[in-house]
Amino acid sequence: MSRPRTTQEIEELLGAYALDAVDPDEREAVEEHLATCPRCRAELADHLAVAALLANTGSPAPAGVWSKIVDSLEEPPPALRLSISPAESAPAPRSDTVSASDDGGAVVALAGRSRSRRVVWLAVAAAAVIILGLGGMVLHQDRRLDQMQREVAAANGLEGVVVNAMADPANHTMTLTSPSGEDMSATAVMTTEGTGYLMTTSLPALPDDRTYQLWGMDGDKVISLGVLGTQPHLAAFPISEGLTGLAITDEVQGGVPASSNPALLVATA
Amino acid sequence: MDANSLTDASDAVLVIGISRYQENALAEAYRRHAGAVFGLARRLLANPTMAEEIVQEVFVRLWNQPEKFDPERGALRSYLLAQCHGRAVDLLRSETSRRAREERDALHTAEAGYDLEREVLDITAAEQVKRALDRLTEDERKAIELAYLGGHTYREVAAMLREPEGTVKSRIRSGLKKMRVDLVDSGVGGMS
Repeated sequence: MSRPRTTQEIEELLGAYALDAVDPDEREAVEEHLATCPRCRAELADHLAVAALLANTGSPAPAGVWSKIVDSLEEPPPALRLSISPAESAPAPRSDTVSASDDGGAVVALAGRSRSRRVVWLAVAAAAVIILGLGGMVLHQDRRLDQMQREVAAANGLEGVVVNAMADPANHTMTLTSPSGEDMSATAVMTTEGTGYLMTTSLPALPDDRTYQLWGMDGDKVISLGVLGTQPHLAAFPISEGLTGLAITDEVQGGVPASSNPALLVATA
Repeated sequence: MDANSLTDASDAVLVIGISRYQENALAEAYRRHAGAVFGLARRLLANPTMAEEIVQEVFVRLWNQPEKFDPERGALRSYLLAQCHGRAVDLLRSETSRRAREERDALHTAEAGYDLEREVLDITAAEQVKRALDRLTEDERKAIELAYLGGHTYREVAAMLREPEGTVKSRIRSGLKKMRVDLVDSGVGGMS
């Protein structure tokens, strides 16, 4: 049988395609078509939802598999730990300057990682070559985050999520203000689910080769929470226990692992 | 993000956590969906060890490539099950597992011939799903079951049922559409 060509031929295959019941050349043709046809993508999503219910056996997760999964997980880019330099030692005049910590950019694993891998990461981090590579890893991570944020925002309507989060009295809200008294601000709401949302309308647009970057303060540590782009409006970020403050800086495009720029906006819990 | 708050998080929030390399977010996704993924893989392969390998593959892939999950294209569970199904079917159709498939088919054939309906009814928890299946014509139901739970292509199903290929292809699609209408009407979660 010849490869399906017309939209109608492709549409007829969508049910079988959803069940992986087509031949390889048909699969290829359907996938090419799906890339450009939202209507067929929607039909496919419907078929997959029905198939998922047919598969819903309610069996328990198999024992022993989780530990194998944990053992084979790709190592994450290390979270960056910096500290806020005291005013007297900071190169910039402002006391809220964010700068690299004295330990030369030591890295630790993200919360939730097993002890054994954390030890491995600390050992690896000792190699200068890894430290040189940090910028690239930060970029990789931020691309990943940006993509996810776009997708979730598209699916759920981030604005609606943020409005609901702000209305929930259980959530904690912080206001970020300019330490130098400039007329700009941002609001962050920390949900009990562990996601924070940042809203701002007053930050001026940056040139394309710059980005705003969000930092979280955990005691005397400063952790990059992600880049915000040239003109942030809404952003989601992870919050961890012990987050005591937030800061926003202006950095080169892609963000930096450690900032030596003054914080434009700051909030403390 | 602690483990307690994650149990209340939506799947979309879990995937954000996974994209941030939060292992406890992956653990929660595993807790929610690994049973279904394993059940489907085991049903298709009739081999618990291979099914466990698929579970592992599916969740490691979610960890490594969370951006492949597009919430606009459906729920996380649909996505994970589709990944599992595709992988299991690839294994079934590969030369190396030909023997496994023959053994599985021999087992199923001995038990129930080509009529898998009873098995579907046994393993399908939701009453509404059973009812939606019951409302299909027998031809539609068989075609869907042989393709999805048997791992056969529609051409193979057509040969097994001695029906024209085009007819089987249409029955699969029309059957899935009918089931969807039924399930939406009965308000089954995840259908909108």
